[in-house]
Parts: sequence; C-alpha cells; structure tokens
Amino acid sequence: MKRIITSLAVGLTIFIFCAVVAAAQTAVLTAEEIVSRADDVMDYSSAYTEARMINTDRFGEKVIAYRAWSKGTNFLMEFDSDAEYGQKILRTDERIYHFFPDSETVFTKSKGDSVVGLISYDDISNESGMLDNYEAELLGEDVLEGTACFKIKLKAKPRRRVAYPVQIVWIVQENFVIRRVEMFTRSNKPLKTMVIDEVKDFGGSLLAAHMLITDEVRRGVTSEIFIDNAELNIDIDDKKFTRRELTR
Amino acid sequence: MKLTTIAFRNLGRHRRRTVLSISTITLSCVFGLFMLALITGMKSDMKNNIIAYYTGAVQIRHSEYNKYDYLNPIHLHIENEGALREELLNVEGVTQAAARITAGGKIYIDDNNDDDIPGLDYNAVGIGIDFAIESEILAPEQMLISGRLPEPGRREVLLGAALAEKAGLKPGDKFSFLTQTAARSANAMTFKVAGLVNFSMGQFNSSRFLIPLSAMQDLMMMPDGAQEILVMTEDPDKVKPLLAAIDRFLATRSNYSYTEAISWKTQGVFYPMISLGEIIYNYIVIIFLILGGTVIINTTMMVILERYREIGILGAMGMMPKELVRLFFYEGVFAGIISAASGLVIGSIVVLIFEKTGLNFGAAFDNMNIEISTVLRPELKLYHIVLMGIYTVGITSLVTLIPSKRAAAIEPVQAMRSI
Repeated sequence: MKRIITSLAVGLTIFIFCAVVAAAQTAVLTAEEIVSRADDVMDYSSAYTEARMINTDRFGEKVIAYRAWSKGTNFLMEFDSDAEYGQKILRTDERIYHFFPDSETVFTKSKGDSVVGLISYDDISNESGMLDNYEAELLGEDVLEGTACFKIKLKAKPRRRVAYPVQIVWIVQENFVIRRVEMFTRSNKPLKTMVIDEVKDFGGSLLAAHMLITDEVRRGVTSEIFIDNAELNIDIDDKKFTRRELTR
Repeated sequence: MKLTTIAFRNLGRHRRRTVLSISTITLSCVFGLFMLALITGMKSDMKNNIIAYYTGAVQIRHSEYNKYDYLNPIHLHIENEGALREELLNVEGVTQAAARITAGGKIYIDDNNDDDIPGLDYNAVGIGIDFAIESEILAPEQMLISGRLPEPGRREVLLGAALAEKAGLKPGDKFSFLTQTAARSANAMTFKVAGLVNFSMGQFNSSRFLIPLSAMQDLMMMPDGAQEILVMTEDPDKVKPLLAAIDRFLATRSNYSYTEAISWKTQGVFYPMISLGEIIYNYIVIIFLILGGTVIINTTMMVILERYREIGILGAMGMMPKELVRLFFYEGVFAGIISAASGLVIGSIVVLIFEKTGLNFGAAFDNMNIEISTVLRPELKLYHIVLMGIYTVGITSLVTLIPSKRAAAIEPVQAMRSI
C-alpha cells in the first residue's frame, strides 16, 4: 500500500511538473515564436511525394494524381492522371513554369494563377516561411475537435505580394502542427479555408497527409489532397529543377 | 379650267420657292430612304452573322450549357458528333450540319524556350471547324487574305488579321494556345499559322482563329465530340418547322436526350433590339418628313398671303372654299410627287452606291460584343421605295391642309377691298 501511494505521489509530481513546464513554455511564447516553430515542424531539406487531389464543384469530382520533388526553394510537380498526363510545373527562385507535352512553348506563370481546383501556383510552391511575408498576432487559444490550439492572425507585411493578405491559423499547442487556416482578402472577406486533419511522420519529419481546402466564395467548391507516399530529406539532383529538364 | 391644271401651273409661278420646298422634301426623302435601307442592312447583316458565326439556323447543344455558360462549361458537350450530324442530314429541311468547338484561352509566343525571358501572351478564342463543311456556312476561304487553308487533321490555324497584327504573327509562324479542356483540366498545344483571314466582324478579327475540328478535339480532349452542332436550312426565316422537326428527331434518340435545339431567332440580345429599331426608324423617317413639311406649310402660308386678292376674286367668281382647299392640296400633292420621284431616284442611287462600297466603321466595332460587321451595307428593298413614296406624297399633301383652311376662310368682299 505504501509502495502504491509512493508511486502515485511520484507520478503525480512528474505529471504536475510536466504540466507546469508545458504551461510555462506555452505561456511565454510569442506569436512569432509559435509561427516559427510551426514552420520548423514541417521543415525538411528535400522531399519526394506522391499525391492525389480531388477537386469537387457543382459538376462533380475530378481526381488528379501527381508526383512532386522539392529541394530548398525549388519545386517540381509532374502529373500522372489521364487528363493532365505529362504536364509538369517547375518553380525556381525566379519563375514558375508550366510544361504541356503538346506545346513547344513552356509557359511562364504568375503566382496567383490557378493550377487545378483551388490550388494556385503560389499554393503548391511557396517555400518561404510564414514570417517572411506576414506579421503575426496571437489572438488567443482555441480548442479544435478536442485539440488545444494557438489562434494566430497573420497579416501581410507592407508591399508583399501574397495570395492571401490576411490569414488566421490554428496551431496545435502540443506539436506546433498547423491544423486549420482561414484565408481572407485585405478587407477581411473570406476566401478559402484549409483544414489539415492528418499529419504523418515520414522518417522523423511531419508532413500534412490529408487536407481539405474549401472555397468560401463559391459554394460547394473544394479541393482535397491526399499524400499517399513521401520520402523526406533525400538526395535530389539540382538538374531536375531546370527549365531544360522540363521538356525532356 | 380644271383645279389640278391650275394647281400644277401655280407651282411654276415662284420657281425658286418651289424648288426650295421640293429640295427640302427631296432631301428628307433621300435621308429617310437611306435610313430605312441602312437599318434593314444592319438587321440582315446581324442575322447572317448570328447564323454563320454563332448558331446556324438551329443550334444543338448540351441542354445545361446555356445555364452554366458563365462558367465556360466546355465539358458539357455532344458526344459522337459525327453520327448525330449524319442522322440530322436526314431530317426534313436540313441542308447542312456542322460541328464546332469554341474555346477561350491565351495564345503564347516565346521564340526561345531556353532563356528565362517570358514570352508574350494574348487573349484569344479558338474555333474548331470542319473546313470542308464550313465552306457553305462560315466560308473561311472567302475571308482568306494571305496564306492557305489549314490541312485537315494538321495543327494549323487561320488567324484573324487584327489578332495576327497584334501578336506579330504571319503565315508560317507558330504559337501555343492554352485553354481549359472537356476533362476540366488545362492543356496547351502548338499551332502553325497557315493563313490570315479577315472576318467580317471586328470582334472576331481581333480575337479569333480557326482550327481544324480534329485538332481542336485533340486539344480539348473531346474525341469525336463537339460543343455544338449548327444546322442549316434553305430559308432561316422559316425556322419554326425545322426546329419542330429537329425536336421530334431528338426526342426519338435516347442517346441525345441531354441535348436541346435552339432557334437562331432566340439567340443574341441585339437582333430583337434591331428589329425594334426598324420600327422606330419608320417613326423617325416620318418625323423627318414632317419637319421637311414645315417648309411646305410655310411656303403655302406665304402663297396665301401673296394671293390674298386673287383668292378674293376667285371667291367672288364663285369658287367654293372647299375648292380653294383642294387647290392648295393639289399643289401639295404635285410638290410631293416631284419630291418623292426625285428623292427616291437620288436616294436609290446613294443607297446602291453604299450597298456596293459599304460603310466602314473600322476598329470601332472591334471590342464590341455585338453581332455586327465592321463594314455595314444598306440594303434597298422595294417596300422601302413604296413606303417612302407614300410617306413623302402623303405628308407633303396633308400639311397643306393647315394653311389652306385659312384661304378658305377669306371673305371675297374683304379681299376685294384690298385692291
């Protein structure tokens, strides 16, 4: 009996200590620190992913399959679904290119142009951290489906050309994973909502494995992304991210 | 002496004044005839353009296409267009059936893929047509100003001359076209410019190009599909029985139950407006003739004042007031007949000249989403001449009744006193 009481006492002490430490940690974090840690959680030097995107609108569903490679700020996406087969999108530091197999010309695209569904070129290839373009403000804490989250407002820094001038982000307090993002215009008109409801550990790094993006302007328009396979921090030849390689 | 003889002779008493009055009415008649011919020409041009460029006499489309037109629902298309067209040719009244695919997008020109300098892009609309069939509808060979027609199945295009000029393209050059496909994805294809065409509609000239249907089907991922089928008939004005026949035919084909047939008359916003315009123009012409008629009123009033004593003598000699009114009325009738004759001759010549040369509005119509040609041609019809003749003689004669009533009221004794 004495042993049980001692064990309980030790356990309770450890629990209280951990809770206090955790509370102290979260209590002192600033909005910038929280966002920075959220950026770090999903940080990796390179990645290869295989994914599916299901776009839904009033005309029904459309499935797009693709593979993607990323290294630093470079990003390459190659489509495998029938309707898009052979198309490639490349983002380098300077530009975004879209290659179509039946076109002799490689198209140069703007960040805001739509690729498929609700995904713009900027969405699929934005490698810069949130704090590079946004000022963060901690709005408070919130509970999303039983998970305690930080609620942070991101407002675009002056003279930054971003697709979403205002965002409200929910970041899980426990692991700093982004759980929900609401995107707004400069005048706070809702544009899109993204919910990440599955995060997987791929070789020690976390990656959003399932996310749902809902258009807040057009009713019933959504894009759902499933990451079926991923390899993180792997060796990818820099040549893969050149314009010349697109046409090969 | 007969009143008509006196009236005719009276016209010559003050020749200058009579010539002035008749000239004014003649000018009104010329203007009126030209206006009527112009509006008829515009209406006819618009009808021809709607039929040739957009709908045919009857357009067959996916029944939900118009509902979602604003979303560019290219996936709502007709499958097995070849089979449907063949069957349509057996429907009573159908003289031709042509499949088309129209898709908006961007043409992109980049001479060097290896440098990092982005190419130039221009908004454009591609129209996939069967060039052999369309020689009876759009007649692209008649619009060709340089180069040649695209070869069937080849990735070649006919480019609107103004679009070619804007994009700096000429026959032999290449460009890529990016658009949304029937699979609801983006696709791009490179095309060679086979020739340049001068579309009669400015808006088409500055933004459209024609592609062989099979190449367009490849680009749009629409194998053997078409966005629409244009059905032609002998007389598009009598489209009702044709539409009914096509409706009956489609009702018997369960594999085309998702389609609908639409008459050209219910397409476009401007055609009903211009039909209304034609009626309004009739009123405008009448107003112009009445304005011209004020000269006749004025002249007749002056004549009555000048012939005050003469009217008194005629009254004393037994001429009845009604006969005096008729005298001036006949003068108006003769002036009207001369004005109408000269106005109709001059007007017809003017209209016929412009019917040949056309009125070129140049780039004014380029950015207007209206089914009207850059060069407008007035169209002279027999009923224009008949109408203008009646209007001119009628109005000129009737307006004389206003001042001639004053002549009828003149007392002979009072008039004689002024001798």
